[in-house]
Amino acid sequence: MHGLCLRAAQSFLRDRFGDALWRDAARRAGVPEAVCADGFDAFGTYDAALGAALVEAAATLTGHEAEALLEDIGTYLVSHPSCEAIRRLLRFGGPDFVSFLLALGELPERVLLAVGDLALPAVRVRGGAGLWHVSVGAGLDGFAAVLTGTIRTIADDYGTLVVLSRAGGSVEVRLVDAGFAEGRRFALAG
Amino acid sequence: MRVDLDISALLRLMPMALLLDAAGGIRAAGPTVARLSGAARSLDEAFCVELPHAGADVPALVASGRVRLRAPDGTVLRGLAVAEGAGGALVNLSFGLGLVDAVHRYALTEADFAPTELTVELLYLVEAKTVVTEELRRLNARLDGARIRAEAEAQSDALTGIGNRRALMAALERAVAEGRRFGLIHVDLDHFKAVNDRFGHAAGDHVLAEAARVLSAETREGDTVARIGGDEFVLLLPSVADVARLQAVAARLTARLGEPLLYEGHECRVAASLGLVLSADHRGATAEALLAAADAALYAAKRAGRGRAVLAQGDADGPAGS
Repeated sequence: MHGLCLRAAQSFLRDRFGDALWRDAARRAGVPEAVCADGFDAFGTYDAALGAALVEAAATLTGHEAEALLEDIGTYLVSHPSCEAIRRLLRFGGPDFVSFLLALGELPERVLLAVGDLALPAVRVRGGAGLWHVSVGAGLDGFAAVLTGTIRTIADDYGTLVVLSRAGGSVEVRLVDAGFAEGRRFALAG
Repeated sequence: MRVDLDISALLRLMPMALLLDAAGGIRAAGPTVARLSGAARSLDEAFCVELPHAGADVPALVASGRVRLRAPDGTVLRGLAVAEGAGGALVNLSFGLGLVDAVHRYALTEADFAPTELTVELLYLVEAKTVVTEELRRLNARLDGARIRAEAEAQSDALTGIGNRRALMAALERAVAEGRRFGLIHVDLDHFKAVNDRFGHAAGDHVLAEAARVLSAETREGDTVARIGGDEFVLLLPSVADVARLQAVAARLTARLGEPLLYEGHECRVAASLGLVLSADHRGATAEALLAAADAALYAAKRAGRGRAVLAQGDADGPAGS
């Protein structure tokens, strides 16, 4: 499993619940002791089951559902000040929310452009006229949940009101109001 | 075949195109290039032509095809000129690698570029590269810190596997602090440099490893053997605390280390000079002082003709031959 995926979970747990909880969850998930102390190496490769184990452990310790934590990671990645770079990279996807959504199919290729060995599952976007279906392929457990949190938060970022519902790897996105709010500023020149 | 296209449609396709008349007058400008050319009415007023050459006129631009223009603020545009109408030209331009600066300078947005261009992708890549580089820099700093820490904490000599100077000093300081009696032997290989020079560093390394093995064989539990420099070793021997036994160990070591060694068919011959110290002769001496006394005795042994051991005399007395 790519170190960046695990780093995302680690940063989220630290920023949201504190360092002690991150360490507890990491130990419980069987993360190597040196990693518990120093954190995951962003460009390291780790056991494929570690991500799911970490989220499960955090769910047990915090009393949240694992799925809810995954969606929160998706939100965290595009809204927390320490993740501003990720939000900006995603906003390059398009000048408005619908363009962004339609460009999600290119997300795995875009990610590979940035990090040559970070393979994300295939993403397919179908539909139109205010209702879209985003389907997420296999290969990274929990990615559909993370992406749901990200889409919801990026919609806010664009000032667009959407309603999302997810069943497994399929996310339904219903556009309620494209000009709902002001949205956050984004310029190509950061 | 000719294409019937309205100029506004053409400039939507190519927002950085200039339509020039035969005299270089600007008949129309795409919305993005117009951010640079402003109210200028001719090419010369808006830009300096750098390619094909300074002051090139419209026929020269068309003849060259490739053009490079410089705006008064330094922004460089590159592009292609083709003939249009009666002696005029259509010049399509791009920021090239100056794109990132131009996006800042003119606050350009996605709408300022043709969707067929990979402009936004290039900006995305520049930003992604910056983020990744920053992350790698952080990782590098962390690994560097870990390496420095590991080196500082390392107590073994990589070549021979015995202790290093740090291990020796730690053991010696501990023995001094605990007021223990011990023997200290400083060993220096004679003619080591000659082996290195004649048979190469691999042979030298082999000699060092063998010497370490011989020295280790003389140690008992609780003793320390360390390589503290190129061909310098030190034995700290709490198990050998009287002069007779220390001399006996020294005699065995000079004999063993004087035996020839074979390395890939070459006979490598070294000898060992030894400086001996008995802690009981140097009451109250620090670890450094004991090591200095052993070093002085070693020097005396070398001066006395190599391949021998000299015991450092206690306190005020100088070292004497054995």
